[in-house]
Amino acid sequence: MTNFGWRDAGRISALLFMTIAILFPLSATILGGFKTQGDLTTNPFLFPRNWHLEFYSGILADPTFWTYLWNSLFISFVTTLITVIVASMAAFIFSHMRFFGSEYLFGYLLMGLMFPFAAAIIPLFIKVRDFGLLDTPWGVIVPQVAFGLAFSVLLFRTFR
Amino acid sequence: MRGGRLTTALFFLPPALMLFTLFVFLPLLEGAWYSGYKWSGYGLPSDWVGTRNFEVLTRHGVFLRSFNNTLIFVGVALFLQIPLGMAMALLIYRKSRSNTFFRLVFFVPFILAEVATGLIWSFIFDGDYGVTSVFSTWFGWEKVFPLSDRTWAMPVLLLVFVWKYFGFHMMIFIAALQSIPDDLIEAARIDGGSPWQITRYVQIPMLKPAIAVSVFFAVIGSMQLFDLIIPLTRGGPSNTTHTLVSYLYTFGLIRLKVGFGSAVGVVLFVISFVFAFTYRRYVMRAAEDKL
Repeated sequence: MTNFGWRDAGRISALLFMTIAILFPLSATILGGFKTQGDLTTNPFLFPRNWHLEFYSGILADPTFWTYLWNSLFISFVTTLITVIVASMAAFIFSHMRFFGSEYLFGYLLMGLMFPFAAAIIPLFIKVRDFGLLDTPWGVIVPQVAFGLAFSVLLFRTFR
Repeated sequence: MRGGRLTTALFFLPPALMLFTLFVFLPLLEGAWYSGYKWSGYGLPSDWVGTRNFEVLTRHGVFLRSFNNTLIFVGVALFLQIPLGMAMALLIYRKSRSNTFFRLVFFVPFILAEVATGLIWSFIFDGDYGVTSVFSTWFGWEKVFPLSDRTWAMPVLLLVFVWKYFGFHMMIFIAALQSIPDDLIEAARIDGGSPWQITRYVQIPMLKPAIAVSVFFAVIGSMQLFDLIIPLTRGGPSNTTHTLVSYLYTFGLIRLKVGFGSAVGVVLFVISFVFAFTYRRYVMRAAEDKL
């Protein structure tokens, strides 16, 4: 294990290959934001010939961008917080207590893994409307928590 | 003491169960009920058509194609994504600074939003700016647009799919590999096991519970693949790259055939349900006991 051999060379080239495969599309997109249309067509992946800052600064100067960013942060923060609290409470019960029907209740929650969001859109919309959550962040947060519960409970229960 | 435990149970379980029942289970039942109607989503469903929505499905070529595509995604998840995740985990599970770096990089695609991933890759595979444009200028080809090409759209989707989710499996395997006691590997080494033999006969067998978990999420997750398809191909060209959920979305929701869309949802749910419960019954129960 002490001297550098073919094994290490193979390991490092595999890791570097994967790193490039992952970072390449990301860097192309980030660098693309500094290029004009013409530059993009002739030189899609490398550094821009002239760095155009106006596209990025245009986004950062747009107040609606900050509103959207705040909405995203608020919704994801609250969703995560509620999911973690509610799911860990339920998972605690499932991992530490055995009572009549506990396996069935767990199986019941597990159904949440098998039902895609898209298939429930219409009934969900009606539910959200009936609860008066339409046009509020809660109309997004509450269904996301409910759909995230199954996965989180399953995950929490594993790490007892 | 017993009373205290009971109070805990009564206080800890209901929030999860209530949220789940209201926003997952009831919508699910209502979806099943809608699947028997011809309904646009406005007003109340009144036009009962029995099982006609399901009969239309079995005769719709695009549905069969999207069903087939979904199976392809599941297959790729099982036979490419999981092995790749495991290979990478075996390379970088030991704690070191460089491994932390690789772990971070390999997990980036999984953290990235699905829609953002789709947009990034649609840029990479754009015939005017992307990878193929470089080749077409080099070799003087005509412009190639892989995402709107019947032969290439599916392989590109599969590539992005593997790129996006292998990190998830890698993380599961890293956690599992780190929990294998060092003495065990040490003992195998002293007994003269080569690194390959240690991996093959000690580490991979010890990974069985993690593989069981990985396979479960790979199948359930790929069955519901949707957010990557829409920004990349929208199911095109000529509806050849739909998955079950993007089919549901395109032919059920966008065309306002909510009853029909619900029928697709029911089919998807039944398949996932049967898989999940048989799998849990016969595979994961055994694996979980070992965790």
